[in-house]
Amino acid sequence: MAGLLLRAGSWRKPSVLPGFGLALGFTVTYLSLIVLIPLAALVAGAAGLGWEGFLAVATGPRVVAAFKVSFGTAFVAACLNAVFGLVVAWVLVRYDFPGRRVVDALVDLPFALPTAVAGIALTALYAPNGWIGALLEPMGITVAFTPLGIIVALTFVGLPFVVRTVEPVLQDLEAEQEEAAAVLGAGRTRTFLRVILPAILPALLTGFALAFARAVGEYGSVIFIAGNLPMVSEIVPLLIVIRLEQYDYAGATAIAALMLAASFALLLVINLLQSWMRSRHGH
Amino acid sequence: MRIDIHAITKRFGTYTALDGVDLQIGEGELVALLGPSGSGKTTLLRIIAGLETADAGRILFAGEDALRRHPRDRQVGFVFQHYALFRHMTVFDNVAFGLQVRPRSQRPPKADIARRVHELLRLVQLDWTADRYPSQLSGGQRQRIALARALAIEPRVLLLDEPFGALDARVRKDLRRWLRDLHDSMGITSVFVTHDQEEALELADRVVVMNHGRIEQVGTPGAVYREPASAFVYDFLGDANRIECLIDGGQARLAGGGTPLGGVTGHAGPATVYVRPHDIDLLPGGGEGTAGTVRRVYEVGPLVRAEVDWNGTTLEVALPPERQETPLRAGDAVRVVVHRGLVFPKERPAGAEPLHLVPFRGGAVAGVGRRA
Repeated sequence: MAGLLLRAGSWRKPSVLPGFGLALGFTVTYLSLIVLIPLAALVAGAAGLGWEGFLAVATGPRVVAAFKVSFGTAFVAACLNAVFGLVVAWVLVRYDFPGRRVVDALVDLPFALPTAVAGIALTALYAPNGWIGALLEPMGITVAFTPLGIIVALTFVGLPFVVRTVEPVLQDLEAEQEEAAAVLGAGRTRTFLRVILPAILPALLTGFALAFARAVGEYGSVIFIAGNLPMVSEIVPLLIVIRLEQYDYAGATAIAALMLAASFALLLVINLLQSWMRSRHGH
Repeated sequence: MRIDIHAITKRFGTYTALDGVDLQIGEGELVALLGPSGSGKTTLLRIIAGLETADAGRILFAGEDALRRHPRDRQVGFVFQHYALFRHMTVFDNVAFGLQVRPRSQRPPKADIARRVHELLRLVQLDWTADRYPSQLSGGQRQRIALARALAIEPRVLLLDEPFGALDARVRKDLRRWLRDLHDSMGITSVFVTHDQEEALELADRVVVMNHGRIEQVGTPGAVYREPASAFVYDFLGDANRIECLIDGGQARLAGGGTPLGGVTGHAGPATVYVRPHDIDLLPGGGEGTAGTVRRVYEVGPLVRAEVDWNGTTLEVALPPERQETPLRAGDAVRVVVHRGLVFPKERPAGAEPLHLVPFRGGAVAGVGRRA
């Protein structure tokens, strides 16, 4: 412990900013209370099950199917958001048009709206007798009560993340870079692929990660539109709730711990990818 | 390549950035567009490059209409004030960009591109930076890379928008000399924009002085400095004392009266006399009406500068140290002698040439008007 403190003393650089000790102490305490202790309790709870018991829960076909649905739909939704969020951010930054502020405000709506409200609205729209659902039905496309519906709900929920992370970076990107590319003979596509996209890719990836993380954890909007068929359109958070309702607390914690590990691993990968990209730019 | 600019006009809303500008730039010339901010110089440069569109007028590149061409087909090299290097690309990729984005049929093989890039990097003396990123270079190095990038596409015209504006004074001076050498060895028709008169006079073959979207004067650095066509040009090209005078009977006197400061032929009435600080001499002793009082004395490098109050007009005077028999001190009474000056009458027909001030006494041989 003394050695740790000694080393702690060595990486603490002299600074004129006051309150480092207090600020760090507060941060650690706060994070512990809000994040670390609950998560540790979760892991401890799952550990009570024993390794074999844990494996049995984790490899249960219904659990595996739910994980596939949860992460699969979240991934697709995050990809959709990355593409269309980029387009929306582009339009908001680059063009001035009547109603731009209204569109700008609409982007934040999924942040503010209770997710259950979004779920009910989307279900009403996409149900076979809803406005859009009725149009898709003759084409053989069913959205509501299928994984497709989950994707729709998750895309809705994750939209602001990509837009709001890409927007400031796009604003900072000087028009001069594009002008330089044009004068050097590059067409629109090449300019976008070689000049603009690499510059905004780290931000885009952050937005993607946030949208993905949000989608994995989403519950409210999904349970209305998903239909919640076991093995088909049942998401992990719902499965946890079902286990809890059956008083299977150990099983619920085991699934939760697994979910925690998977989310953490994914975020770690994305973060590593980002820092690798930044190091390439020589920042 | 020859560039002909005919009656180029550009408006931004109600603001007229360029008002019927005509200019001819000869093959291999290095031309400076000089003016204060808002004079339209950068807009003109951007229109030549195709980054801005003109509302009216024509630009011919070697006799061929350039405005109809997309910027990417104009074969111009453009250097931005803030470099505009691609931050996520290495120096090598930055310079190679213009070659790599060519259509497949015109794209040189990889080895040729690499050879050409290293050649250019050697030309700007930065071959060792090929694998670095722009953020790892200093401002002067970045600007040289930007220049190498612009030269990679073998441009017919090189356009530079305040190329040294973001650099500190020392680097600026070095780069200026280096750019002049580079231009002399490559001979590409070049136009650069600057608001720094020293830069324009030192670097350019011809200087185009612009103000309020119009060209005030075009000429060699010597000509625009010695024979400015307007008060604006005189004022902009160097330090100037502006002395309000009344011309009567062929003599210019301070508006407040006193001994005349010189003779003027061909005008009577109120006028402004422009005098450079180094065209004024201060002689010891006062008396008469030409007496001035030294307010402040300070040395700037080789010159001694003094502020003199002369009957209510503050004059800035620059004296070589050897001209002072006795050192000047604040509070001294001195006789003011004007060696040379230009007279701009208050009321005169548009486009009329300024009149020369004919000095009277005390070293008057130094500068009798040359235009007369």
